[in-house]
Amino acid sequence: MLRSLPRLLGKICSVSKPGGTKNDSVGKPLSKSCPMPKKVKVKEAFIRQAFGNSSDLVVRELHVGPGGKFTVLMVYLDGLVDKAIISENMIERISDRADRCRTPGQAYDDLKNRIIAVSDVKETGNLYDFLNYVARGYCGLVMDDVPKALVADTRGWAQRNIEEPTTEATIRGAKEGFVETLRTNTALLRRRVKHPRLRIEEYDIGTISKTSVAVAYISGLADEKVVQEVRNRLGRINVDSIQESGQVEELIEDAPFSPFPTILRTERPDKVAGALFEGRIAILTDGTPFVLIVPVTLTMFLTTPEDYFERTFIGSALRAIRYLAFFTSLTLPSLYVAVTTFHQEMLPTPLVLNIASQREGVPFPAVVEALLMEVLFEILREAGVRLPKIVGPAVSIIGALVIGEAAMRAGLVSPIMVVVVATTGIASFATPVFSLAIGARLLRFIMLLLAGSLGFFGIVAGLFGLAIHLTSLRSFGVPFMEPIAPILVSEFKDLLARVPWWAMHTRPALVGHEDLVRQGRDQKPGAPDSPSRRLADKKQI
Amino acid sequence: MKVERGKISGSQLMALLVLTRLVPVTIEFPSVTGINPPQDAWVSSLGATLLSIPVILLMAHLSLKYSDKTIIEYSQLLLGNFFGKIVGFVLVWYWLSVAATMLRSVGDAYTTAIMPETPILAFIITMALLGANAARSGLEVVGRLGEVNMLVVILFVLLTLSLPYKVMSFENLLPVLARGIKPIMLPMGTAISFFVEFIILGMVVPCLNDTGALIRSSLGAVAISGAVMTAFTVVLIAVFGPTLSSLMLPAFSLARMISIGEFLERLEVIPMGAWTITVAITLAFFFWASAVGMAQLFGLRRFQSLVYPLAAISVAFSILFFESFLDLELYFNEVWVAYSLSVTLGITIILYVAALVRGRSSASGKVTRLCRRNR
Amino acid sequence: MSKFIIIFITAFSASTLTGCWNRRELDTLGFVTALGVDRTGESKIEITVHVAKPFAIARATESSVSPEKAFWVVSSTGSTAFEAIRNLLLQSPRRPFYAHNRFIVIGEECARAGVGDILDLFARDGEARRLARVEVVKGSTARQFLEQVEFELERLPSEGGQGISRYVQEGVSAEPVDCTLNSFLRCLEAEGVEPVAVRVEAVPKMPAAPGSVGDLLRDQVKISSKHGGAAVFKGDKLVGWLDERETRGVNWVTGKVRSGILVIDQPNEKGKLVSLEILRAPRAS
Repeated sequence: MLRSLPRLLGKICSVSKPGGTKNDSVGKPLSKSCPMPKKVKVKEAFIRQAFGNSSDLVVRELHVGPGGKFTVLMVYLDGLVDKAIISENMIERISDRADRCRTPGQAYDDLKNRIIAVSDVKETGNLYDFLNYVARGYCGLVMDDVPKALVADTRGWAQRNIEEPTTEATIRGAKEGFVETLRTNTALLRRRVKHPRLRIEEYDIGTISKTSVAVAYISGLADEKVVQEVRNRLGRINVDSIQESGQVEELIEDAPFSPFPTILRTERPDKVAGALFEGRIAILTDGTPFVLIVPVTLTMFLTTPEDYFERTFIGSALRAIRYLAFFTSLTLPSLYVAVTTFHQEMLPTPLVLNIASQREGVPFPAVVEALLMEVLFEILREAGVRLPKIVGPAVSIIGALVIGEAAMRAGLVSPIMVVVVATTGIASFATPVFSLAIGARLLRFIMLLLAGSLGFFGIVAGLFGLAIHLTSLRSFGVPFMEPIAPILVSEFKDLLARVPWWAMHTRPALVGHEDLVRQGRDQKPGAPDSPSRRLADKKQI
Repeated sequence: MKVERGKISGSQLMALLVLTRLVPVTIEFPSVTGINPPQDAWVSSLGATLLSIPVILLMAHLSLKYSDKTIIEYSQLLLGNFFGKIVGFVLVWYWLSVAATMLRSVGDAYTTAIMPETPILAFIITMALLGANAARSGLEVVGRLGEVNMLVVILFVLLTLSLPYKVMSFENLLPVLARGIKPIMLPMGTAISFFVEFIILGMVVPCLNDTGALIRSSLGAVAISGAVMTAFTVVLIAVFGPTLSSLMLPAFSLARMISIGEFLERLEVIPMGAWTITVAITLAFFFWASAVGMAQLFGLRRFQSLVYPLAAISVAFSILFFESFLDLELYFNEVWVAYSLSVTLGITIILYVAALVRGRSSASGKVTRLCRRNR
Repeated sequence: MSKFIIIFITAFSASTLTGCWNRRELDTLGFVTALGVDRTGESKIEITVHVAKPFAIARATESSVSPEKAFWVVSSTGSTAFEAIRNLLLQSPRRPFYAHNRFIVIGEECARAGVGDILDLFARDGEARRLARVEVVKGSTARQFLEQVEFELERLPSEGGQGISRYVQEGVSAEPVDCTLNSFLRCLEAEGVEPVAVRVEAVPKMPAAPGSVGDLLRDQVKISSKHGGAAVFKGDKLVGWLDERETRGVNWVTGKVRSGILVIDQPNEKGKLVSLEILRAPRAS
């Protein structure tokens, strides 16, 4: 009932509209193949009816031809167009130069070929298409007696400047991030891949929102089968709207119920470009700076561009720390609970007595204590993200005081539990991709319950269950746990340690197998007379 | 009609076979040896490893003759529909009973040694769920899990074996065979009876992406698990000496001797973690084999729906078969050797003879061609 | 998928909701750090334990001076060692927990009567530590020893004893033997080898005031323990003591000497002594 209300209202409105009374077809909803009517008045009625009484719709009448005989209607949506282009390149030129034509047809051709000084001018004979163009920010021109219409690309709106991505900061690496405009984003990619083999295919997804979604890949590197699979999965999306790439992700991913994302998202062009060079495929969505990358593996979620830009030892060490942090954020509280409530014999006597003395008087079992603190921490974190920046620090101070001091002094929690929870919390921020970090956070609670009921056995069982799940996952045909399961020794070059760039001869075998070799084996640098240089130079000669 | 489409590699098969051996080798074998004096246990494990090689070669050879069929399928081919199906049922029963004893022994190990107040069902059901869940995902996933986890488990085993170095004294190993070879015959039989569980090879062969790797990986598995078993007994004797025979679960006792820099002590969680992983993968392997076998016996298209019922049956078996840990030990001492050896060796020999007879009667048949190619 | 979820939820709740079977919170446990065994009349076995008091230790860190003892000494009897240990539960509000027990102290009388059946309990029990040290008190009962022993440098006597045993194990001194429950039992079971345990003696911290006798003396004078020498067993029965020098001989023979001091007469000057430090010695593992 509720859903049909707008349609009902629409009918009433359209009937009561004065413009619609002359032509019966005006009152009906537009079909996809609605031909362009001839009379300009009818056209205007159609357009006005289609947009309702939207305040940003501008319909301007211009007169061309000798003595202003012919009427040209200029239609655009205010705010979506660049007003400078409209006034300088269209209105000015039309009123200056369009008075020599004899017939409306001639005037139309003149406008199209000579007068309108906009780089991209298209022609459409279909009212539905015409309206779609206008809705996207094109400026439409319709004339009397011509069953066609012109649309000029005058799009231009306020957009965010290219800034440093806020969610993925790095110390070394490019400081630019994607913005909300698709075209800017594709340009950012093009600037990093200056080769015609970079293909960008665009699709409109969402029956109402008409969101542009672009698939970018380097032809010859990306597996054509995977590209086709991406096209197929995008093609079967049939929803009314797409606001963010997250919705696209949910509609095309392999494992919809997994706590782990099987599609990587990033707002860094360098990361996307790096993935393209490995033979992966990027999916860009208009209206969001987050770009999707497929196919991916779990290890990719734990790498940052920095791993590749810093020198190899530093990059590898950073990565090792990140792996450790991920594991910590998943299991530390449960390990603590398991050890202190099931396996007290594992700790050295002084430490166990120390912990016991701290727990003296704490009324809850350790599991409950841990759950309590974890929930409290999650609430604080969520509040910290949502709060306006001005009150943010206040909340963190209160949070620190509440968690750190007051709860401890009140005897609600033991100091060591605060240490454990704080370590876990900090460790979870070391995971570069938020969607993975949040997955680990949720699983942490399950692990905590398992540890609280079955001790270390529960933890191992939980981790193994997780391993089963991860091993059975695939991302667009590529095993998610590759190169760990199945073991691919050739891919260990980029697993725990990252080998130097000059030794990174090949692309990932399961993704870049179309053109496996990345570079020659003669890239090892050295002083002019060092053995490696001599060998390399000899090869070149 | 293929029930299982996944493919595994030779090294994955080897990992799976090694893992299936590790549980009997570390839980069941030392507790059933009952050798007096115990210092000869390592001789019996070494001997058993060597003696089981020809048996396993026989099994591998038989499977290679029909490398595109599982043992369930070619037993029907060789013995006819009726007898072949009986063999198939016996094998499925055997795998389920092995899974049940494994569940029971790991459950009993945990409840007796670490968490006596926890009901054994908590462990058994959790393990069975893990195994069944992996088995449902197919052999490919099981193989991949096995490959990675074998490395983890071997690392754990090495840690357990090397960390108590302070309390080892290798003079305990002497004298060798003081009472002759007689007292180690039965333990040797027990060890061999664990190795003949390799009859599961017959299920895997059609899923190998390189059948030539079969013999290599099964022999590699025998070598690795034999080495682990021998090293394990040697270390146990070095640490505990003659008191070994009074220990119920030597692996736990061994891990309790660990003390790293006075910080981490009594790391019995190491064998616990290793066993949990190992048993889960082994169960997955056996559940998979029995589910695929069952599906093929009844001509079903998918085996996945059979996994959970079969797992539930083996959970029930594990509770109903044995009354206590001592009962389990008694079973291993008195029943297991005869049962396991007669089932596996009996079936292998019957099938082999049948294959030879058939092979001779149809000299130009596909069977011999395959046979030749694999040589 | 939905079936899987149902199975998962059932299993999950079965494993988590039915109870936390083996969960033992730290503040419900009494950590036994040392354990003494005696035989009393009517062939009963008496167990004496040191139970650590975590709260006393915590208070000690807050205010540096704490008059409170950091441990509690309690004894109980039973017909077997296991029964005696179970009887402790009736006196202790916190469940005695033996995984951190570092010392099994045996009174001399008890040792002479045989300890095999008592130590067997600790060998088989999952909680007890096989690396606990076996010590025999010379000339006293374990109860008396444990009630009075205290170290000036450690709040828990077991920590003090552990400190000493640590460098005994490292071989700083060649005189005492190092004997864990594991090695004791190993020697007991093996043919041709007899066990040797650590000999401990109570050493008065202050010389007794002249004139104080009997109970008064025992109450006032705190004792410290001294490791050294060895208690020699035949089978599971104590048969005699070795002094420091003899113990060093045992250690030389078994190849356990790592370090130590040898004092000899100076060869060319009579009456003067030379101390030699053993830096390297052939080792047997």
